[in-house]
Amino acid sequence: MKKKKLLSLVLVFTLMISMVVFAGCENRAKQNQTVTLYGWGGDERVNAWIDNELGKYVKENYNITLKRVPMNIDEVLLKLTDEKSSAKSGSIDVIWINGENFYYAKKNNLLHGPFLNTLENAKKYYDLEGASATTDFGYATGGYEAPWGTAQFIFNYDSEKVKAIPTNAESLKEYVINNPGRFTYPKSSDFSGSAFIRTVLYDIVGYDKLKNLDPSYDTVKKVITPALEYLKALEPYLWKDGQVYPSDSAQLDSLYQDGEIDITMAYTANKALSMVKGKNWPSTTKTAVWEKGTPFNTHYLAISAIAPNVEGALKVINAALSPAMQISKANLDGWADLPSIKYEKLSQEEQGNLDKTLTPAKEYAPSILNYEELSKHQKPELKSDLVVIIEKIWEDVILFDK
Amino acid sequence: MMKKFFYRVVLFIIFTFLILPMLSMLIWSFFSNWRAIDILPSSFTFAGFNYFFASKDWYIGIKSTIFSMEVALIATIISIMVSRFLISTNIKNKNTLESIFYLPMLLPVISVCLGSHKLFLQSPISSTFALLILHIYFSLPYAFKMTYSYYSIWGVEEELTARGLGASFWQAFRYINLPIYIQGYIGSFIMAFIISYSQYFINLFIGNHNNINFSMIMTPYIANSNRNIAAVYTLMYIFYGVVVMMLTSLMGKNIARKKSLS
Amino acid sequence: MISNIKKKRIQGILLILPALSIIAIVTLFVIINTFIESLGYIPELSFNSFTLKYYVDLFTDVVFLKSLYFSFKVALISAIVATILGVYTGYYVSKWSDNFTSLLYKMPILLSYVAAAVLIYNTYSDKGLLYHIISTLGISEVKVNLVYTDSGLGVILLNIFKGLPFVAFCVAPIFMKADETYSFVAQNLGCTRFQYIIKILLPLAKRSIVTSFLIIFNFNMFTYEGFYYLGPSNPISIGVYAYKTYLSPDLSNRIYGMAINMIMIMISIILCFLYYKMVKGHREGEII
Repeated sequence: MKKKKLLSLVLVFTLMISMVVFAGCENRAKQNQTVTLYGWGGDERVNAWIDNELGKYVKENYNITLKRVPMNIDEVLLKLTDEKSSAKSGSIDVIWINGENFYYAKKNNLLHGPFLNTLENAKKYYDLEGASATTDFGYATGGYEAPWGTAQFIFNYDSEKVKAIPTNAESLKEYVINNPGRFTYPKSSDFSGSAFIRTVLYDIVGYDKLKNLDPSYDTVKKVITPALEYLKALEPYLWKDGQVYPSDSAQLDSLYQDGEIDITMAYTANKALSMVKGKNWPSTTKTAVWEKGTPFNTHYLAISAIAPNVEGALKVINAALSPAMQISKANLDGWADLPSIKYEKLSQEEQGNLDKTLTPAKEYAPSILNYEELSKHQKPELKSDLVVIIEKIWEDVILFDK
Repeated sequence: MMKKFFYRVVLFIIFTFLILPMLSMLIWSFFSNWRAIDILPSSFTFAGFNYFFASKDWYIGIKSTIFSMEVALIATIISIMVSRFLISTNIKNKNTLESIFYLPMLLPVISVCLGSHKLFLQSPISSTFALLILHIYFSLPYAFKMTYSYYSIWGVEEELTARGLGASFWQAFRYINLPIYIQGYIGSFIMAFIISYSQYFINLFIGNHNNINFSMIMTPYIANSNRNIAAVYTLMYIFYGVVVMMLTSLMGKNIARKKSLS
Repeated sequence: MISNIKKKRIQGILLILPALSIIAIVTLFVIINTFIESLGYIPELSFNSFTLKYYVDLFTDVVFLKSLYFSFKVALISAIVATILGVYTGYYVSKWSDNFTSLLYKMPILLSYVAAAVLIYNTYSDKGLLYHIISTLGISEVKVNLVYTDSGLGVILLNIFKGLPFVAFCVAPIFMKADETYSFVAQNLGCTRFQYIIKILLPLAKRSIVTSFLIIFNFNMFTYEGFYYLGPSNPISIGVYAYKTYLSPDLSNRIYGMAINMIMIMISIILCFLYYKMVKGHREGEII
């Protein structure tokens, strides 16, 4: 009687432990069919698209199970650096990446490649010599990443409160002085905050003077001094007297949603439409860009150097570049990400489909800018190590008052 | 009389302080906008809940809960073993030995993950097992603290007496130890469960795509600006946790009652 | 023929082996690894020399020292308030056996720090729930300015929100146990309620209260999630500072991170040591 009880207890125990251990082993059999995609998971529309559209597409066409893992890109790279240095097979296949992070990853040999010109859809529908395929934030991609979509930095504002949205530095200064405490921007460590600072730089200093700067702290500081003085002059009229800056664009959006500030900013050009539709933002929200141009960039998919399933990863990326997926991604009801595919290379029918998905419903049309308007005020990004230095200078001068 | 009123007021303020954030979570789960000028929130919506159940996240939540329950069970059993050892020995450095088991409470989670990542990568342990070890590592001190405090109060004398009278080890444990200690065991199980369930960084860093945690999925949403989704996920997260806590408490009360009646 | 004593000893060792091995191995590895890396030696990333440069840099950096002081201050205030209020709450909780309230106060512990931080933000931000409640009650023109202040009030609120239930949870069983044993006796001998609490209950639970205080103080000081979402931009906390160094593109910043970690571990060990010293003499008649 006792022995039985003991035996059953031991059995249950072993069962539990083995369940956990074998959970790791059993999936090894499925691994040829599984591709993992690591990237930012904060937007439910993006996640829904990846899970339901892209995942379904690669399952139907290639019998691949796409597993999306939500993780911030800097954490992904941290994990990848550690994994690579221990020379074991990694756990990350596809990475959603761009800019400074790509520069860092490529410099430290964390990526697999070059692979872009081996992809069927890339050769067919993309301009492989063009700017977005060959440069990312001023540096050569070398075919190590594939252009997935494009983004432009825009401002969203409540047209009821802001009668004339500032479109350059001077009018912003006027606006801020007349409306103290109603404007702010995220810290330079945030993607959007950094982009705002660059927009100001494009206006005050000019893109051409910046694009070939030598990436040294003192040289850059000297050149951007007029912009730094401008930002310092703005400080006392900002939200909370400039004592605190929102740590990221999500906090900025929260302030906008609560009605504490009237202007917010982001890299998603079509954001206003879904926010107004979902009744998160006031219906009088509109989009604006600055005259001298706002940063415009491409975001990419790359493959980790120690990916467990490189073939599968290539197939997934190929699928993401296909016309069908690019059109579905641009759908204004879903992700609404601007496509990176070359319009001219699409067939008539595909062009028609793309136009249709990019046209907003009448009631929401005023909240976003159409693509022509956006492209008139586009400026390329600066080199990524320049960006990093500019961010640090802003922190030192404005934040820490050094 | 005044004094009693004063105490009640303080208690009321404390509870309000604890409940207000929960209330805000509840409200935001069902509304997508609440302008400063309005008294009540506007735009009632089920969008967040729809999204939660349409994506596979509700299922990941269940897997997450079960994993944490396993961790809690193992942590509780181990802490019972350690407590029994400590209570019945008299070696010189008992205090030091005891404080070793409190060590994980002092180390920041990130340091441990970054520091031990290398260890786990270089060994043949699968990442799921490494994850299990680290979860147990962090839950153990809390489970141990609870269990040991109970053992220090009640001790094992009654059990030893029963053994002396001819009962076997398991009989003594089942009929004497369990009814008295069950509240403590349940408490330590719940504590270990809570710690493991709320771990975010470990799954992020050490785990792979098979170990996605509820916390891990939830965090990017709550860090973003869509309050409706964030509130829904937090609500469901707490809901799963509360279900587990209530079930285990009920089970504990049941065992305690049954044993004391028989 | 193993003698009884030896058998007991083997049994004993088997009992603590799993726990001891997990904790000892991981802890030792982490501390040694962190220490070595903080001295600048990370062969995988080709840093091959031992140097104290990083420590020196840190201790001469004003930003770092200000962060250290700021984290310490915030952690201390929130831990003290949380402990006092937690013991207070724990006492009352131990008297009720009401299922609902006892579940309710445990909920904040269930939340992860990030989730709790966001809830606190939603409630106490300038236009959050508190603001709505206050304006509904008709008190107009009140400005809610709690989060994002220089003093880190938002983080303090968060720490109290998470710490208070934790302390209550830890001391409630002690009070329950002690009440059963002593309350009747004390009343019989003529103690007032107040005297009873101060002179009997509190000293009995002293060890648990001090342990809980140290745990939450330690946690508050080194966590980064709370400060990241609710803290001021300047000064930043130690946890945030360390977190930023891990994620910086310049790999050598990782070593700063490890050095900060080492400092944090040192501080924790010193705290643990102080606690040990304090508790050493008081074993008589105490309920742990």
